[in-house]
Amino acid sequence: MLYEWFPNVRLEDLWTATYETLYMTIISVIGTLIFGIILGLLLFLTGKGGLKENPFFHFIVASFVNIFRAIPFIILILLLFPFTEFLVGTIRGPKAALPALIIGASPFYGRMVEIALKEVDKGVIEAAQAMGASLNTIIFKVLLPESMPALVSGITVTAIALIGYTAMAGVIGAGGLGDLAYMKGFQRWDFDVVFVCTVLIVLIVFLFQFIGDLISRTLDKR
Amino acid sequence: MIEIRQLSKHYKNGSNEVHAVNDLNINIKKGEIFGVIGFSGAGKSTFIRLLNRLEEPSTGRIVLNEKDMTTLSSRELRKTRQKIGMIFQHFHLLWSRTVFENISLPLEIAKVPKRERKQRVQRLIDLVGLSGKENSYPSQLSGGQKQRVGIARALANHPEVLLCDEPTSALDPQTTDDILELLVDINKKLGITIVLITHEMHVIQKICHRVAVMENGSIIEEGKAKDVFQNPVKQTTRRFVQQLARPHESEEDYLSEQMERPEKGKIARLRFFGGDVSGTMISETAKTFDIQINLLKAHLSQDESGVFGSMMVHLDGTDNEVEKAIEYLTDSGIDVEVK
Repeated sequence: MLYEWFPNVRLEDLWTATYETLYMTIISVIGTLIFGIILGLLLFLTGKGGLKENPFFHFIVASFVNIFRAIPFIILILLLFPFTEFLVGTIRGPKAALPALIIGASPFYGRMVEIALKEVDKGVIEAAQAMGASLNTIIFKVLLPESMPALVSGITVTAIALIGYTAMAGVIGAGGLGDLAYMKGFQRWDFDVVFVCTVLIVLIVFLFQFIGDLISRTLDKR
Repeated sequence: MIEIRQLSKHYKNGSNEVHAVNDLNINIKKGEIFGVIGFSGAGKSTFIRLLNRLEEPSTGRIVLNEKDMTTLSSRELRKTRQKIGMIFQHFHLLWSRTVFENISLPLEIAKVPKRERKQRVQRLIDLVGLSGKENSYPSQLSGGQKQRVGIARALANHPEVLLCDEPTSALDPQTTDDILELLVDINKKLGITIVLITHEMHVIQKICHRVAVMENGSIIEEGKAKDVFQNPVKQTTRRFVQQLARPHESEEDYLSEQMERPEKGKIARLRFFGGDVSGTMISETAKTFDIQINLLKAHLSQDESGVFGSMMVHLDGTDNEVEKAIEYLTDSGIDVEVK
């Protein structure tokens, strides 16, 4: 039956492509999580009324974030080709997509982190200061735990955007379901392949959303 | 214990300079409960934050246990803050931590080893009467229970001073009394000096040994709580004394609204603030002027220094005589409010 309905779909291609998409998404989510939180913390701490208020430094970080958020992802990949080649040694394959994915998504997530941190009760930060907490302690024991549900739902949204980015990266040779749909499906006019790839991507998006919601809800004790 | 000298905090709000705290000089003795009362905007919240330098003073000195707070480096300041507990009107607990973990936080900050932390947190939980709630999250607690967690947390590192920022203002009257009792208990048992700010007279009356009345960033009256409120000199202080009579006043207002207007004379509320004013003023007034004074309702109490409280009266007589009587009463230090 599978063969009758989807004559051009090869299971092993699908399997490889799904694996590549998940690989790109998961690694880039981890990278984005790290860099996004660092950017978000810098924005929050150096911002107006922040614990390390510094207008000049804030301006630099905010400009960096705004510029990279403004560049369309597909163009960002092209712009980063030399950097990617230097870093990864090639511009093809899932690994080569990672720098662009992380650099494209981190500023976006960084802004979400900043918003999440702004929601932390100022009084709780004040209480921690009154206890004699250092900046490090305030970051790791107060700011991050108290904003965790928002950080998790933020990374969920970002992860889903990243799945979309991986499909785009696929078009210029990164592999994954986007690549499969475009190269094997669209180029050869085999729309059964495009259809199956779409279904798989949608399933992956649902899966990420479900896991994200579950974690966020479990963490929220408010 | 705490010596405050010429302490001021100024900041710019747009083009005008705000004097939040102005040239304060206070000595707080070891083991006493010192209250600062003031209406909102009086500067008391800034004042208490200056003590542990959550707000940086503009000028002046704070000497705590022979240590000058104002010259400490940020590292020394953090170390010193561990020995100054603080509780807040809105508790400021971490919602992400259980009761146990919240109380454990200051111990983590002070790098107390895990095993000792566990014992100390358990003792604190018992001290504030929250046994069995160790694993609850703040969202599962009542306001009073949250403040108990706040108190336990503030006491974790054996502080010498406990700063209380409107500790009962978010609580109902019964819970307020429970929390105040706990504070007195802690003050007696552990000998901790308590500095407390509030706008509730009741809080001062109930637990403070000494009180300072604050207005526009300055202290306008200071002394033993009893003395200050039995002989209030300043208008603001008198208004606070009035607060104690408040619960009865709504009852009196209801009464005066329900009553038929008398044919002549006036219905008035008389407020007594102690001091030189005595209860005989009423009969004296009735004798001096050609009026009768009908007592409608009264809530007065008398102690060695005079009469406190309020009464509703009908001053019956010609308009002229009633006016003169009111003037006479006012001059004698009784607050007259004509209904």
